Amino acid sequence: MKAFRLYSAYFAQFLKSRLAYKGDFIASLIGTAFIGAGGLLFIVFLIDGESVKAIKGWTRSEVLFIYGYSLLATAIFSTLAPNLYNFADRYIIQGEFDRVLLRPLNSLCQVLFESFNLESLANIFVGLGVVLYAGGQLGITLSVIDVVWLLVSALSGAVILLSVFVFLCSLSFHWEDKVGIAPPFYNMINFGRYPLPIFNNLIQFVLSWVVPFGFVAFYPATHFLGREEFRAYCYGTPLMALACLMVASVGWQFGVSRYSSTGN
Amino acid sequence: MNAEAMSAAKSAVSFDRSLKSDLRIYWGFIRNGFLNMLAYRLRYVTGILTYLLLVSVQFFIWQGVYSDSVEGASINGYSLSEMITYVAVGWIARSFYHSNIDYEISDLVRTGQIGIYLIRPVNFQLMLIFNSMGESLFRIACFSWPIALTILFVFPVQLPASAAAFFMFCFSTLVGFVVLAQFNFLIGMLAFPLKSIQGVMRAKYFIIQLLSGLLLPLAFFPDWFRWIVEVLPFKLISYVPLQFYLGKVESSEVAEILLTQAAWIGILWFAGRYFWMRAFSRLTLQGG
Repeated sequence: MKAFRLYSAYFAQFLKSRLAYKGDFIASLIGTAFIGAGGLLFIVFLIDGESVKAIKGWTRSEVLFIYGYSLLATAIFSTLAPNLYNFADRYIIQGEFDRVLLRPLNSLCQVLFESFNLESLANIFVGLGVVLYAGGQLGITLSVIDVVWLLVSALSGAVILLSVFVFLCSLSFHWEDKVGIAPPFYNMINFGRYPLPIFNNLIQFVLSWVVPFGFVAFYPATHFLGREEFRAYCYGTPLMALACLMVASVGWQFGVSRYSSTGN
Repeated sequence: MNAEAMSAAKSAVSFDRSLKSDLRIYWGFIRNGFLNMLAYRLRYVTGILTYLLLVSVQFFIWQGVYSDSVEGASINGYSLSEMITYVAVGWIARSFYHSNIDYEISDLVRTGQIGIYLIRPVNFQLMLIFNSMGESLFRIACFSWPIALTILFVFPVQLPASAAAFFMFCFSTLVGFVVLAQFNFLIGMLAFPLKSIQGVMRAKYFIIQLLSGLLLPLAFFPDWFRWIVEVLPFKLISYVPLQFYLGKVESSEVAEILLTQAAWIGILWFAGRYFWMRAFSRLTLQGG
């Protein structure tokens, strides 16, 4: 309870500084929604239903549905992620991790709660809109269980994304570098926004078992698309999230135990 | 031993000592420089990987798009092979032409350092564009060609249609660089009224990708959208150079394209100049 109050205070503190430039905040909200919607325009223009009807058998509505689905998990992830993006620079190289360790709260939660990317929440609405629109086109009706699944899988997807990048951050305890190896992984998220079978076997394997971004949207979305062949993967999503979380927290704890301050 | 010889010997000793400590100090610099290079080498590899991944996603999407049609069929005037070339060469060129002028200006405004440039007798606009040019040339020398080699190695990319086509591709990409740099300058000018332009820059990032034709050739847009894109200058950044590369420009069209390029560079220059003068006269400095 006390921890909850403290994290709320962290959040309130961040909110005050972020809203100092209101004009920019609103522009950021719109800008983020633009990026989400922009990816949609690409799909809508590409699969116009006349000259292009489908991508390897995946129709426009199906591709849109998966893309919208991916926006839900990535929106939650990006809201929490800004400090993971510059973790090595801010916390290791500039030494701010000393301060984190001096406080009697979980070090990872502190790092996550010191900065947010609230604008990204705009994409939850874009994503929901697309899922509902494309779902309507596909004739999908949502039961209570479906809505619960949508929630559970979106959260699982966000946990998978967070875990991957927390794990990558934990490497910077051992190997100091401003940017590290994370940037290409941010680009890999894009693979998870499209139907997995359009990629070759190697990429499908990597996205299922090594960097499991296939579970961020594609696999859980097949629940609604009636593609039976992915059933086991689909309902394995929460388990995959749990496994990722475990690997990430072990990696993080090991990293923290090896932390040596910059000393200046 | 006389006094002179004594002092000579002493200075020899002290020379020896200072040489030793100098060596230690400079060894430190060497080590530092090496470690820096090592750090950059990582960024080098991750940078190349990033571009490879960006092209890969597009590659598989296009392969999927053409998978239902017969071998060698063309969609909206592009065969699969042309489309892969379009995407791959487009991203390779992007590694050259992109610039951060908007970010640099917003940073100067945010920190108040913009004040220094008000009293410097240089043209602020030209200074930023040439500065970005330097960065772009550096990227060509160190970054673009390994990206190109990697991508050409992995994906089946066509050679340019002809030597003349390749020349026009290079020339137009340079024009594209100038157009984008000037547009970024205009975005940077927004930092004066808004103080912070993170959001605008974020929106710009994707809009440019779409409107420049980097993601899709203009022929794939619906008519109403294509009309908008034809009127705007952004097609000069990616679409037009790639049309030259693929040999899709008739020689009768070249003059018109050159004229459009010149016109937009002029318009953007004067727009930038106007807004800079305006900002200049209304500037309030933060921090400093």
